Amino acid sequence: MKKTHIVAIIIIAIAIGAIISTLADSSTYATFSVAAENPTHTYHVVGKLNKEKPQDYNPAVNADLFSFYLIDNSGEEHQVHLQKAKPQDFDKSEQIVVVGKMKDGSFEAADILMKCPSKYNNPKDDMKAVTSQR
Amino acid sequence: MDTNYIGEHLFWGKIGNLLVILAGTAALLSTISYYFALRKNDSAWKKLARQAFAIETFSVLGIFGILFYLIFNQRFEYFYVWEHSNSVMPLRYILSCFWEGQEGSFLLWMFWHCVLGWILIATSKEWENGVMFVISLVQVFLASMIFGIVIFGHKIGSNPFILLREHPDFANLPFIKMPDYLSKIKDGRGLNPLLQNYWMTIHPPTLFLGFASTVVPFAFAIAALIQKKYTEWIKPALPWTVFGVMILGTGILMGAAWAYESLSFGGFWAWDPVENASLVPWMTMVGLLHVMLIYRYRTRSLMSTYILDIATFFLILYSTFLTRSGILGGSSVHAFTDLGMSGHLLIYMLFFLVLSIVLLVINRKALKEHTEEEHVSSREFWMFIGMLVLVIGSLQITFTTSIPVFNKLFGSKLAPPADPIDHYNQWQVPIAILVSLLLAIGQYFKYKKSDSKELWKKLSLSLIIAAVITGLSAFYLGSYRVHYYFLFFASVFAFVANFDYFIRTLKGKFENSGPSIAHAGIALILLGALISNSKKEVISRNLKNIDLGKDMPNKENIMIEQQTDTLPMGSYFVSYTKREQKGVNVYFDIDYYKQNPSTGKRTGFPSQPLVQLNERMGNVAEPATKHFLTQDIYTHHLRRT
Repeated sequence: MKKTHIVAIIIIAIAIGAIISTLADSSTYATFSVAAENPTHTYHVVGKLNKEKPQDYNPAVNADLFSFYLIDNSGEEHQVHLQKAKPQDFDKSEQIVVVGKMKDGSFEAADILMKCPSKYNNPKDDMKAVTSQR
Repeated sequence: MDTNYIGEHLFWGKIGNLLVILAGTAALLSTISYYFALRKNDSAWKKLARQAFAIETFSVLGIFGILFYLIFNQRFEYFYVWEHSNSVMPLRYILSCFWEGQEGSFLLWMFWHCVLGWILIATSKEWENGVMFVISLVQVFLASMIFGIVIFGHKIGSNPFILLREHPDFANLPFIKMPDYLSKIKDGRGLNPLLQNYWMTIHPPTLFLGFASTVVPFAFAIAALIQKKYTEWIKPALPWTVFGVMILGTGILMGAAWAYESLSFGGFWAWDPVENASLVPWMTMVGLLHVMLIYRYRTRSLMSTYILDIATFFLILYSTFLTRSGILGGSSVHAFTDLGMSGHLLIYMLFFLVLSIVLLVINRKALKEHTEEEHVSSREFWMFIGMLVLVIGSLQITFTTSIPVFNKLFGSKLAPPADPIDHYNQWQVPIAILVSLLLAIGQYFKYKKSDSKELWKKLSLSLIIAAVITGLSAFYLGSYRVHYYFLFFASVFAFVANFDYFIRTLKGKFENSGPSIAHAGIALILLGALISNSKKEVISRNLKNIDLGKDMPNKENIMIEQQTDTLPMGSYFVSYTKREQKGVNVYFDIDYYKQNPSTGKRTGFPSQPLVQLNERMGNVAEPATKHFLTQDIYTHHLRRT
């Protein structure tokens, strides 16, 4: 066997390792009910903020805990405990992705991603606002 | 029914539009002419090609100038000006408007290609026709990105001179019918506050020069395949590869410096998809540099040279696709706004990929080598291994970064790793250890074959010094993951061995010291990254007597009341004394002090993080970092309450 063959085999082995590790580490987009079935696995849950229900943020006690209610894409609602400060422009968010695990009926989120409507992408609203001022 | 709009300045916009079309047409003409010059070896075609390239360069400069003029004079009737600038923006950031938008950054890229093109015309002699043919072809694609013409219902590119009232987003809005609409537009939407930082005035142009420089080795390789002069290109292309590695590397480091200084995650590297997209081509280009050297000195690894050369350029196009097509969505802080150009970008990428693969397949027989294997004690063997390590590293990064692409292709629902930094580090720390070891030993091997006894003798001093330093550092580093100690040792070893090589083997001769300096520098970067990342410590823990239980750890943020609170953090006491607004910036005065228990004397420093107010894009917090010799203290404002 040539050295080049050995090297090729090693590379293929490592490449397969990389793929498997990526698949193992990667999270999945899911709904609350899927996350509840598998509480040890980390999921990305996509949903909308329920603006009717109360939000709880008390930085004097813990600046890294923020709770709110999220309705996922299947319509199921749960309380989310985000272990971070309340993000800026949170109430304006159009869509929210929380990353974490389900625990005792609520979702323990380590991270949050938000999509805000007029942040970067919507010049139309800006323009409407400008030109409607008479 | 035409409306007579009041106050618009349309003249320069029309000239700009003309130049956009002229740039694209001239690039196409230059491509065709260089092709015939190449095929027929005809100097008349070559002359025409050069003239076309001159017209293209002139057009690009003209577009730049006009856009600059429009932004400078705040002509908000132009969409690009309205979208990317405003009147309160400091003048020194005016150039940043060029790289906030996709159109401006494509222009910047074209500009660098023009500059590199003229250097090549002046220096590449018999390679000019082939190399400039490829570069002009690339320019045609770039120029088409700013065309903004509708053909068969498809919009080709996005034009920087489109008027506000012509922009498709605003179709049917009432203002289009108002003759005096301009008087209602008081200001533009302004520059993203994250770009209003001095690093952001030099990081993008440097990075784009790095991107642009990858086209040169690629153009040489393609020209060589077309002309069937398979090996002669490596010598003239080698300096360009070195240049690309240097500039792209510098650009990446500037980006890291910017992130450290002004982003709020408290580090310089977060394995963000856009960061990865520029790191990966750099890694393959370093691999390319090394196989080119192998070919230069030992006439081997020709096929690997071609593959890495093409891969590097392809990865630049792939990174362009990732950052500009909108496919990364919200998963990155740097991605551009989606302009609906993903199909166009995809064609750009696939065109050059298919072209390269076809040329490689046609010529595969000529690229085969019939040489005996390298000896294990030869320098070329270890350079090749080093290249492989870099390729494995870049494959892993590319794979994870491409998760959104896989989801699009296969309809899967994978999300990126929940803890990306851990995920990447578990692969890249071992890669960095291997890279460091190779950095250390590489130059001590001789081409062909080395004497292993002599090798060990020369390396032993560096090994001992590195082991001693690692041993001593244990007192400072304390309990530490084992593989961090390995990386610590390997990077110190790499630094010392290269220093030693410079002193004892090269006898301090500067003209041959390039590799030693580069290797020692990379070793220092790896060592610095290791220490700063692994010793990061949050001092703002919640120290109040409220136990929130194990599931609710108090991680890193803490509330501090103005004037009333003094909180212990690390070895300091911290208080918040004043809040002051100057223009769009709000400054927070934070006082750090220590008190000597016997004398009562206070020592400390003030820290002044700020928040830049921006209603449209959201306020942006800029941290304040106090630098000490052995540590930095980083203060970051969380949110306005």
